[in-house]
Amino acid sequence: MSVTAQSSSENRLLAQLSAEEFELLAPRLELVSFTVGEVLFRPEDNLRHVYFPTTSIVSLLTDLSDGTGMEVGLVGREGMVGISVVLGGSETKVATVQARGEALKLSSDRLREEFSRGGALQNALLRYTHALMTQISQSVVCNARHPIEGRLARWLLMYHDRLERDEFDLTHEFMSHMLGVRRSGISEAAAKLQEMGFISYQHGHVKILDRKGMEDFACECYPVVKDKYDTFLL
Amino acid sequence: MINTPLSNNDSTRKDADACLASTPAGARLVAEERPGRSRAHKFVKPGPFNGLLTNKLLTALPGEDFARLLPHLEPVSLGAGEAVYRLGEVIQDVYFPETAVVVSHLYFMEDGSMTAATIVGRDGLLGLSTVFDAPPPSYWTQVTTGGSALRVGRDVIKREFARGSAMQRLLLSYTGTRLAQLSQRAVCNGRHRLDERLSTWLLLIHDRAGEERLPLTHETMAHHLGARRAGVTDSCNVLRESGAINNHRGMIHILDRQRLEASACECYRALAPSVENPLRRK
Repeated sequence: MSVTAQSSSENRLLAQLSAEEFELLAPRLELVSFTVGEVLFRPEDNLRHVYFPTTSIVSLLTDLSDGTGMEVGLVGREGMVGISVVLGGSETKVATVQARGEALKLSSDRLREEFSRGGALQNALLRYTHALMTQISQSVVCNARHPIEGRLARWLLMYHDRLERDEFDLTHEFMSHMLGVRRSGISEAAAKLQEMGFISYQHGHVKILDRKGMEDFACECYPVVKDKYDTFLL
Repeated sequence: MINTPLSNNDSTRKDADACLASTPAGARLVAEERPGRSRAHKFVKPGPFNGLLTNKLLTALPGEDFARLLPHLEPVSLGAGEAVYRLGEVIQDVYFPETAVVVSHLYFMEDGSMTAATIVGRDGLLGLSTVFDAPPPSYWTQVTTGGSALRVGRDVIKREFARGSAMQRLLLSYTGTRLAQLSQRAVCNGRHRLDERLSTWLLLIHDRAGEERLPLTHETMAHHLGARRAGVTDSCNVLRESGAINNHRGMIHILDRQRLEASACECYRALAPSVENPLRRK
């Protein structure tokens, strides 16, 4: 599928390129579709491509040896999946698609070439790397301190920010995996968010009803990371 | 003469050695007040430099790159409990921790509690966000165990980074290491028991401090782990009974690393390769 300036501007990192820079990159970008659960890479994989999500959302997970993983970062249209390609060193995460949709695919070699040029893309990627680091640092703190209801609210808000759609499908099992808590814990937390009128949640279908209320309820980590992303990436 | 025990590219250090040799007794490495450079951190004391370069990033620099940096390096000493950067402070200098220094990024919560995220020692540098042109950090950068560091102005580092040279590759690779450390700790905090987390954290500190005795009170440990003090006390008792550590008057004494490693969660093994510890006993 050919890539137009229109579709690439849906990714905020690519949107920061100048018209000339974009002209150079456009022929190398390929529009791809992801389905939920698709695994883009695993630890130690040699990444041949990176992905700039436009309408999809990708989860970065750290796996534990018992086979369970836990989400440490969420990447949507504000970012790029495969940052280890520019940082060097081996990949340590699992990247799995969390919301179906599209992304722009670019070869890792081409990205490195573009990055070493030191232009707008390098600048955008460095800023993004820092924002991602902020997001993950906040999870270190959040996971140690905050109760599950506040964390679930935060996570739903981050998801909603990237999706720009009020309804989506999420199973208990999936959320329990992402947040690293037992399924029963997720059920209770989701029931509480529902009771408070922030969401409706039935048969794995989530509908955001009161975003503002949920923002007030979510743990303090949500605005901290959101502010960083808003002020730093755009 | 610079001794680089961790360096694996000794042959490339000749330039740096020559540069040092040309300045009598490494005189340029003795910190002095430089006119026109005001220092925001009054607590940071100029420190003597013992000539042992142990910072992993500095020792990995090719000789030519290191020689360019050398005139800008100022030895300072950082004492336990001091803040390297305060909350919201604009970063003017970056620091390459040397032997014994361990620095943590502490996040303050609305309820007054705190939790540490990143741990930096001679495996990295402080002030990474300035390389990314990021706004002032929303965390407090505090010295956990004191020692020496080499300080350099942010503009010097940014200039080196912009050259696209070895410094750029090293800082990017260090950023990757830091992302990996943070990711592992995020999962660790979400999943593992406090005694496992405490063991992992002590090992990470010990690797960087390189000393058997660490000035850590139960309160400090509780703050860093984002746990309650009573929980930390219980976990310390378990570790002491197993003979892994001793703890007395605000000091943790690492007695048996192997036992401590056995008590740690898998996160320690996942993170250990990021720093070599000459003291690690097989």
